[in-house]
Amino acid sequence: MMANMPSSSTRPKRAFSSVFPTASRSGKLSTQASTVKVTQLVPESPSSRYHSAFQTPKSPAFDAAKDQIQWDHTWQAATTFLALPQAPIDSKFSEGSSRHNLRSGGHWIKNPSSKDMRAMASLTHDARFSGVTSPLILWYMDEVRRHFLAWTKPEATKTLHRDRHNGWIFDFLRTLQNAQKVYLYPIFHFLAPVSAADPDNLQAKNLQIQSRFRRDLHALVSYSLPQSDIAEALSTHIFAEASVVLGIDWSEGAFDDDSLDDIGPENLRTSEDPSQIIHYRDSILTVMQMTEEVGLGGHNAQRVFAEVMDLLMTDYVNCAYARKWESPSSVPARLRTWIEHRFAKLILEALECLRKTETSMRGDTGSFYDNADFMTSTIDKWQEMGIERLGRLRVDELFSVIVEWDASLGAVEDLKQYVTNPITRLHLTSSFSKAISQRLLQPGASTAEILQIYISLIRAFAILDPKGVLLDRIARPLRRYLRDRDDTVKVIVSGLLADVETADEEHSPMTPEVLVELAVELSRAIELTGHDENDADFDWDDMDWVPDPVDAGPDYKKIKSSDVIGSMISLFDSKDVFIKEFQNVMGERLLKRELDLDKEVRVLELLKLRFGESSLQSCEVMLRDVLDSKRVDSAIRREQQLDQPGSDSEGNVEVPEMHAKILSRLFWPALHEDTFSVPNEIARVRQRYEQGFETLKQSRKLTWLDALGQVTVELDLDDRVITDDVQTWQASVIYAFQGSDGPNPQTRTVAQLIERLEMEEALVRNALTYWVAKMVLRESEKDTFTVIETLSPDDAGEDQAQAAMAAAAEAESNAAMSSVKSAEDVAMEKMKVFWQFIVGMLTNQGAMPLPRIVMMLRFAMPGGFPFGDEELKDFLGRMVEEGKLDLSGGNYRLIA
Amino acid sequence: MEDIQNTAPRPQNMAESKPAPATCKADIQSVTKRLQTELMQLMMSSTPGVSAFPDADGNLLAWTGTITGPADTYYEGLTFKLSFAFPATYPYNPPTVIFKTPIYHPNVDFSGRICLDILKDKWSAVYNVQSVLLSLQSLLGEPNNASPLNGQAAELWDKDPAEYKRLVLARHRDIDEE
Repeated sequence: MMANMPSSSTRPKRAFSSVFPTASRSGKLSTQASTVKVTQLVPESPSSRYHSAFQTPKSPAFDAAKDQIQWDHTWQAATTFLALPQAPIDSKFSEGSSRHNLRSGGHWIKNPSSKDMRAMASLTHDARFSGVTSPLILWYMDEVRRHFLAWTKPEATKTLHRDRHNGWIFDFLRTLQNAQKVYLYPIFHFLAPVSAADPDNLQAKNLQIQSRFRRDLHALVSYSLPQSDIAEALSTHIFAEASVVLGIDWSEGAFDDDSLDDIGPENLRTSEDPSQIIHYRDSILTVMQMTEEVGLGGHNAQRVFAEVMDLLMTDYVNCAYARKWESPSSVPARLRTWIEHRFAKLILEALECLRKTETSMRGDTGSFYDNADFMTSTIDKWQEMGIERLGRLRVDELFSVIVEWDASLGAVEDLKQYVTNPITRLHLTSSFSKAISQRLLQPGASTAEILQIYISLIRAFAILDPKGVLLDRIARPLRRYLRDRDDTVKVIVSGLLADVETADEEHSPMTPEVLVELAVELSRAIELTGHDENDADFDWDDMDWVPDPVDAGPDYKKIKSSDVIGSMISLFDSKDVFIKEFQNVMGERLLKRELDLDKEVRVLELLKLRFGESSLQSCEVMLRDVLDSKRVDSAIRREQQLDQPGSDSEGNVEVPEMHAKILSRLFWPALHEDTFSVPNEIARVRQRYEQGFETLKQSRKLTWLDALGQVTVELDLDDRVITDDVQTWQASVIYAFQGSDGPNPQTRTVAQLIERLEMEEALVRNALTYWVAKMVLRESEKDTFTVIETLSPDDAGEDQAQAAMAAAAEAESNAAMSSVKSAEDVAMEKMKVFWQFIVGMLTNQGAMPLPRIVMMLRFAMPGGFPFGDEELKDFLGRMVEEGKLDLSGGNYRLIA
Repeated sequence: MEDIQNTAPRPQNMAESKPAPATCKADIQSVTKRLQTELMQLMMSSTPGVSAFPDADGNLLAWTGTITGPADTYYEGLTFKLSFAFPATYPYNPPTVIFKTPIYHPNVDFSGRICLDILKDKWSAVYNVQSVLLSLQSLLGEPNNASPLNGQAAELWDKDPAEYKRLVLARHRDIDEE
């Protein structure tokens, strides 16, 4: 009954205090049996309870009244002696207090007089009630309980809530320990030894009494003190100290890597001060031991300890191995060593400590160390846990790992040990996908960056998971996103055509906008062709065949996951998109360059391996055109004798040297066809060239593309000569400034130029800006430009500003005049096509609202409809203004 | 009586135009592609007097066509709507073409069904929407009175131009705003 302290004890206490309200907590239990008379009204007063326990087995042969009086006296003497004082227990008692110290230091523990001794002996000696049910012991238990609740508990709680200084947990535990010592003292010295009659039984009985008493006391302690506060205090303390013992260094990078390389039992603590570690370890063990001793141990303490150790393992992994990505990776091995020699050791020591206290009470001898199998299997389990933690760390880091690929090979090696079951694989894909979509798939990242990471991703996952299932899952959102980006194809294609040589030299293949890596990859890719992947499943002789992984998706296709180029190209559903863009880029390069075409030829050949001959046919024709042009060009020039200066029939000395590239129009992407009148000299040469071509290739005609081409211009100004390679229209504009008529220096207005050259205003302005930047022209008034014949110091001062401008103008002119039409131009042209569709639609289907028109266009247009609702609305609005459409009630109707 | 006949063929044709999806899924793709190409062609060439466009809702197998009556015929200045229903086997089988606008014509019955050899046994895969439209347009001016679907019209064609013209106009009704 007494063991279930709180619940059962409160009830009589409440009843008691209802009669004696003031005696509730501080009041002490009655020590005199005579009080029974006074407290008759109370149904169950404390002393009468013990009394009646004694009275019930009374023998009828005794003189009851006499015996009762004598018993009362004895009871009074014993209880008076054993009563605990109305004060907290002096905290000065320390570990080594002997009985003597207790007596002298604790002023309230008196030396028992012989009468007291006799009284106690007679009360406990009676064989009938000896042992744990002895009334005196029951009474004493109650007394202890009262004292604990009244004095020790408040004292301990106060300690617990006081300012937390170093080692305050010790104060708390020591308070409890001392109290316990004092409480137990009488049990050991006065009550137990005399309570057994049978000497054979004595030892066992005493032990039984002691352990019973201790158990009751522990129950009291653990139930009456705030468990959560204690657990928190304990875990804070252990956490702080254990992190030192385990060698967890919180400061960034301070972890001494080398010292752990050859970690072993002997040189475990080379990196820290060994004495300090021992100190902290002892401190932890002491705390654990004390906790156990005062009754706060057991399950709760073990759980607190386990939680702390669990946290510490994660912390250790995080701070010791974060960003340690060297390859070959020694991290898992080091982690295993650490767990075996430090982590497990500490846990075992602590558990041993808890157990030692237990066993010393229970008397059985057993140790964790005894069971070798248990030890190894437990340590194995912990090591697995450690590896898993490491895996989680690596998963969290994975994005950075990929970014820094391939300096981070080690991290992927670590991960390989982690992704061994579906759960961890799922964790990896889900958390990494999230990281990608948060950090990469957003407008802030350039397409080249995304592609670069995708390439690294492919390579890293080829090592991590050669089957490609993980990559398949992770790459899906990435690929979907890339498909939506306008410039993806462009970046890929220009990457393919990038200069491999420069990339190799610089050894840093990442230039911001060009993915040189793709070019490298392409040239490397030849090696992997030959084996047909599609047949892999039917290759019965393949002794290395393994089934697809269990977590593979239903439409998972075994791909050569390391095939970077293949992955890039397959981004798009049809190869056409890719080939078209390749054609555009190729066209631009072929037109701009005069250098040899070896690289283009090589890239083309490599791509042919992938796409097949037919799909790249037009590219081939383009390449041929350019190559043939050289030959045809020299043939024509010979024929028309354009090489000999001065041979011109009209006697003009200056025949500009001109070469042409002859393109087969059908096979080239849409080219800019802006026209303007070229200088007469050029026109004349062109005419002759044309004749030459027509004699060479009969029934074929040359059409000149005025805006495409390169001109080497030599400007002979008063104080300087400028030689420059410029675009044709730029040359034409500056040529228009030539002439002896008019004032000197020559001045032209924009309007004059437009009229004379029949050139678009944008081109004229662009050319003027270019020449202003080159310090050939000056804008003397608005829209009026004058040739700078002589550079004044003023102009020279503007040099820097001009240089900046020049750069800008150059960029602008490049953009304006890329020889192949840009996507927007093409799209605008397509609007005309759309108009045809809209007319057709409205003719046949009657009037329609805007959304329906858009919807119809989306599904009817081959290649889709690239504009949104708003753009189409603008367009239709224009048509309404032009009187071609009628808008009524939201429906567009064709005006017949 | 005529009106009842006119409303009849529509659902029937719709049913024909939708073959069982399981049997020819792959075919539908190639049909779609072909029809898309034809549409593009038709839009780009913009022949005067004829045009056609798919009906809505992502189904390229049903189109609506429009032809205007050629000059110097009874049908001058009138527009006629046609419905095209392409089989999944197109272009190896002809589309089912029906006049939606009521028309008085020797080779067209009152339900709008057309008697034209290239839509029946003379069909060839080289024909397309545009050629069908042009054939129909010329049929308006040059009917085949030897095998009429509308005997009265065939008779009146040469006999009584005034009456013929009256019947044409009486029968014609713009269905544009239905």
